Amino acid sequence: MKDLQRKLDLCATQAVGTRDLWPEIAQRAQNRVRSAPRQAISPLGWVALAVALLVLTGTAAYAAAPILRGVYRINPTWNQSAADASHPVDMSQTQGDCTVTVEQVFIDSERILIGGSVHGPETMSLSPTKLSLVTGDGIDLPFVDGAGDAREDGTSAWVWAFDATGLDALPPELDLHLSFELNGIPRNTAPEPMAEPADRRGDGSVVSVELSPIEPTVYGPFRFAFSAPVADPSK
Amino acid sequence: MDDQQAIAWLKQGDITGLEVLVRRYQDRALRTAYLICLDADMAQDIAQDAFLRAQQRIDQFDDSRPFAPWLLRIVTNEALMLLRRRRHRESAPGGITEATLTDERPSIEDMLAAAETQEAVRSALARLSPKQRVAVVSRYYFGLNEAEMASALGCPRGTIKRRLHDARQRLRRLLPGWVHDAGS
Repeated sequence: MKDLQRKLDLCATQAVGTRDLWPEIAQRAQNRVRSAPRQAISPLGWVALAVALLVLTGTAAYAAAPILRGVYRINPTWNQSAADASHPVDMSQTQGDCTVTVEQVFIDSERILIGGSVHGPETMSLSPTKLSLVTGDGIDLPFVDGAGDAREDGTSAWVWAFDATGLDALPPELDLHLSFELNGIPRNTAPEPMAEPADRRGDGSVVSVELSPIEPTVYGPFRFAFSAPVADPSK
Repeated sequence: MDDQQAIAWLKQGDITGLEVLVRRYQDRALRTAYLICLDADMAQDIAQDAFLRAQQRIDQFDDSRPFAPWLLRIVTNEALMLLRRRRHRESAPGGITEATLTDERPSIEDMLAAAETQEAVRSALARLSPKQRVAVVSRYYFGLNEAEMASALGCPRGTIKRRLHDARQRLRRLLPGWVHDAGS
């Protein structure tokens, strides 16, 4: 074996020589830090999450189970999957006055569905950001779709779908690492003008009004590590 | 500074920790990537991506375990993903297409058998599928046993056995004289 190891090493060394990777990695790492908030989710993800934004509000997690079933019904394939083979996770994390619960997960060779609920301050509208799902082997799973629902009593729940078709030879049980943050924005709050709120001068001419940006309250990151069985396609 | 200190710094967001790890492991990462993709420039991209991925995922790293196997697992995953993406739009490295990876023309075997050079090694590896190459590199370059490979690659042990068996069979034909001592 040593001989083979030496030959493989020689083969690779001869081809790539010695390279200093650090300068380019350092540059890319710096760029990543600067642009991290925009990189975390694909454009498709943002569209889908915008839908979820409408419904991820401060709510009571204890009442989430019925509404979560309702979210699964939004997509018939989700509903079937959830009914057939979802695996309970029931893991909660609290950061500040925001509690997130991952309720259940469904895995098959095509997708991974994660359903959960959130309980945050009632005055906040919460939206997910920097959503990431990675296998125990470090493979990033692309976010493909998401939806949520809320009731008048403030209960809310969400389902996120990730593409699993890039995974080869799925093991009987898959380790997953889910992470995300929640941005909280005060509900029903219009941006306050920075300057004097006079949009019309005494002479009748219109002037622009500068609006102060609303800085979201960031909750998280929330990180969940869990395992779940892969659904048997024969069943 | 040892690995644990560098990782602790990196977990706190100090990029100095990443620099220490890159300078320490870049050669192994680069060579591993090359043995899987067989293209020096692609190997450089893969190794860089792997270090950045490691930085991104460092909070998930278990401090009680050694860093190198975790990093090299990321390297192999990055390499397989890149090859998979490129397979759809161009030939495999060296102009070898997926179709010809299963082609076993005796004339090439004879040529490689006669050529005891590094190019012969590269050519033989190029005749394996990417997953077979990962199996060969994991077993004979990292020295992992089958159980460790199954854990690292997230495959059933039977799959690992089959890939190794198929790879060895092919390498025996392509490079007689230096595979037999690798054991089974």
